Amino acid sequence: MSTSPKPTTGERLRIGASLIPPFALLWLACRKGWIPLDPRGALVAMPVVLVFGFLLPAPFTPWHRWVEKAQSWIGRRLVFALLSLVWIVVVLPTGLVLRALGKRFLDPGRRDSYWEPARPPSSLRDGF
Amino acid sequence: MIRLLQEFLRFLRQEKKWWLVPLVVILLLLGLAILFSSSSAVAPFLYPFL
Amino acid sequence: MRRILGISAFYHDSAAALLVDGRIVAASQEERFSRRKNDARFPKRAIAACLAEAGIGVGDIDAVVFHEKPILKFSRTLETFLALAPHGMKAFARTLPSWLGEKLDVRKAVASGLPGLRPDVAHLFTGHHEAHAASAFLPSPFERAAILTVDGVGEWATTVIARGDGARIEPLEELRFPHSLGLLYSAFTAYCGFRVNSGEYKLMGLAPYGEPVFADRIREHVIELRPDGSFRLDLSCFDFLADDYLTNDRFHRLFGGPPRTPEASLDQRHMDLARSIQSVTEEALFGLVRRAHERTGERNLCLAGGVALNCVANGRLLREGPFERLWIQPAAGDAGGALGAALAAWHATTERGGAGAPRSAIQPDAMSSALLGPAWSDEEAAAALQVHQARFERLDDATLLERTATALDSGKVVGWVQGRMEFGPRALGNRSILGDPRSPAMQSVMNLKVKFRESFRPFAPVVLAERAHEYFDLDAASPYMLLVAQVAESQQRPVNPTATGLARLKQLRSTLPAVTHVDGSARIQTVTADSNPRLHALLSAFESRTGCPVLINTSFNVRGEPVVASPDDAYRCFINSGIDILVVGNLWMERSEQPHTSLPGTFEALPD
Repeated sequence: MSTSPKPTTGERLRIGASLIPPFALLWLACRKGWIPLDPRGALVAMPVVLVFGFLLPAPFTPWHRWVEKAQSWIGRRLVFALLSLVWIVVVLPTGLVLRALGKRFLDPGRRDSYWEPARPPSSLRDGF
Repeated sequence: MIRLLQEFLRFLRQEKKWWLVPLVVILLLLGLAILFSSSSAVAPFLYPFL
Repeated sequence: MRRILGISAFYHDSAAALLVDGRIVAASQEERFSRRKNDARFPKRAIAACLAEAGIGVGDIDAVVFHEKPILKFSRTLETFLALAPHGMKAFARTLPSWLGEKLDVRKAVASGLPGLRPDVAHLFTGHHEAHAASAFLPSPFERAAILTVDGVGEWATTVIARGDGARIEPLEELRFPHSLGLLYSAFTAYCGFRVNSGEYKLMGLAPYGEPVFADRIREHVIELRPDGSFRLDLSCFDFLADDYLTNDRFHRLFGGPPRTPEASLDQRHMDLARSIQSVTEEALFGLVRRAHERTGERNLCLAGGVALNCVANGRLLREGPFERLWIQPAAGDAGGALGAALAAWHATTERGGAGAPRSAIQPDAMSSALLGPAWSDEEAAAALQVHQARFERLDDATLLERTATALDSGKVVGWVQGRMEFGPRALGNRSILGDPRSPAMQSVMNLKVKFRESFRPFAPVVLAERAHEYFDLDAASPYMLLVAQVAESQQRPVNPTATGLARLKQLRSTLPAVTHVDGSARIQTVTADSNPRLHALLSAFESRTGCPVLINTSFNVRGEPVVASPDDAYRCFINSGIDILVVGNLWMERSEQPHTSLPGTFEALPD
């Protein structure tokens, strides 16, 4: 056994919570009638396993780690999808409209000189 | 995050970059949501939904 | 505001610098401690080292200064995506998550990275080029000077001309993203198969093997240079959204093929490309420097920004440029931004949130020879070495110098760890591997057997400042190895001029073959008894034994490894490489006596 430090209260809570998803799936399956059981049983089991995991975290640590990995995998994809949506809804139309209005952010066009007056120093307290 | 949004809006007003306002507001709200969902206090209860 | 911590982080080469009452107490790059090259994470280990050097805690810090304006930079990123629409959806969704985290909310990142900060600590931000300009001018030996900062990109500016006078820095004009000399050089670096942000050195080292056959094509199709020194890139050659290269098919057609993969062989075309972009870069830099001279009318020039690490160009600027004197920040890249940010805050007016301190220039400069990192005592080193059951002897200074000089004279390669670690990319004789420059075989031995790197790469000489003019055509001091000059004619040997490419590597072209590049040049470090007494004493010992006041000085690391910091890093590197002798402080170790033939490395090797 590895001699990992004792889990903190927050970690124990999360370990307990990581036991919930299978019962959540079970509850869903029962409700849909895929499994001929009373869905209320799964519903009741959820807080029970949460408390169980909280009180006895050690054996569930590997499972918790696996759930955490899966969660971050799903989270990354979710963020990617959300940001793609932001791009479609905001960036694309704004970009196209600004271009139609003749705004060029990156290309100054051919000129005799590309020097621009320097930005005057702003307050150090501001992030801009 | 709210302080950052305020600072950002101050910047956009100073620079008159109005076209960035919707994008910045949406992104910072999204950032807030991501932050909220990953902060330790609520993360356990979001497990079943992720 | 007495204790100011400067930080650069989140892009590449994160670093920390600490000022106490305006004095640069310590500065270090995170990579040296985390053992991950170009580490961009929050520099908590480097900060800890700086605080330890000053003997203070996190709660004693009065101000934390970040080297960039995150909101301005983020808005530039967003505007770039707006300009690239309808392209760039994937890049947008991939790039933004990092922004929504620590990169944008820097105050929060600092607070969580530095638990124990006082609630009243000032969180300050300088502009990216403001930090570079401050790092170039404020520690320089000049009361007034022109300042030129050139790099990839910060917020919008890629190039800034400014004037420094006393404590005041007045930015005059700038060129803006994406029109950037740094990005152009990096684009060619990636195209030739080297890693962006660290392989630029290799491209510069490769250049003398080639001919500038592509230079006209670059000027015609890729960068438009104006007579007033400004320039504009032709954006139809670049792809800023791509994952791996900055260039697109049009660029690849122009230069005769797809990008080189890192494993592929280097052929004449790559050498010609390296020479061509080096030549165009020098031309562009000359334009910028002439402009800086016209705009400011100053006699002195201060340089910083990643492009200022192009020591070949610097050497030419010094010889042929309009300025009388040149001072270059040794940590010219983004790591130096941490130092610049802290210095800028110390000298900025109180209305801007600075400390408003006056400045008077320090001779030869305020950088303490760039020896700003941590040091280990002989006792600490011995304790670290005993963990490995290392066999070492403790020698007095005279015996140590004599033995080291004898070993070097007999062709041994020596790892040399002394005093405080260097700040900036170059090892300047405190974390160095030393060798005999007179040996014709030494360049290939050190490249292939000691450092496990490409055979074409040159080594730099370190020379007693008082005798530098006998060996090199250089009439200025070069304490930071940032100037390239020709080996003096009296030291050169005739070579067959018909040889081309890597065949030129084997030619014996001077009395110092191991440090003479194929074009007869050398990247010189001059040492005085004041700047580094220990190294000066060793060079003097070698000189009195051999008559030669020059040694090879290369950084103490192997390929893909950050320069060693601690005695433990040094011992592991010594055991795992072909170094014959290790000297740490006054401790002497010989390879043949060590109980190990290999030890686990502590660094995360990166493809470089």
